[in-house]
Amino acid sequence: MKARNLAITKFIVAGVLLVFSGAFFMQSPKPFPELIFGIAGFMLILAMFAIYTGMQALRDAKEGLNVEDELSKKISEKAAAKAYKYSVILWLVILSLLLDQLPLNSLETVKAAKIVVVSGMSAMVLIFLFMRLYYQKVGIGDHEN
Amino acid sequence: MITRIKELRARDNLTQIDLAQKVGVRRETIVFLEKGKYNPSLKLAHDISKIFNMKIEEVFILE
Repeated sequence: MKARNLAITKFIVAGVLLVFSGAFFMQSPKPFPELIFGIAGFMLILAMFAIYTGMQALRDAKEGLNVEDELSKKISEKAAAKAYKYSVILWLVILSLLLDQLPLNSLETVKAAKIVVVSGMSAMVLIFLFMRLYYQKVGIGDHEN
Repeated sequence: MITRIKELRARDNLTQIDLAQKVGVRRETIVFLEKGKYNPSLKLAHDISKIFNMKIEEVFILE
């Protein structure tokens, strides 16, 4: 029951993300700025991930298995640790490369800073999702336990 | 570390799902254990050994 509820929650999250990205597209000025495609792509990736994990949870529920066990917790912890490590490096690279590139005009600076922060945070989420999928695929071997 | 889980499952006619249900883990965990891609906790190793009525060191063998 718990697994089924979790699966349903994930499908609802995916649905909400898809509706939001659709609404975002609809109300954006045409022709679409390039940034819109990036945001919509990011939301689609999140929705796909939610659907994928929701289907896994549904399958586990049908087989009467636990949705979460010691391996899945370890995978999440390991992915979070790696994502943190790579995010620190990412922010160092972003700041060192872009700090001098930002325009001095205050309005332009705010706009550019917003884009940099949103892109950086989206990249952090994507790194975490990628690391989680990676460890789900390869497992956690002897040397990494 | 190598495990004899696959061999013991075959002996007892258990599927991966059966074993996963008995020890309360996901099927993927059994898959990774059989492939030697995951070292289980002492509790899980104990539970799995108990299912097969064997000692932990007879199921999980350190190379």
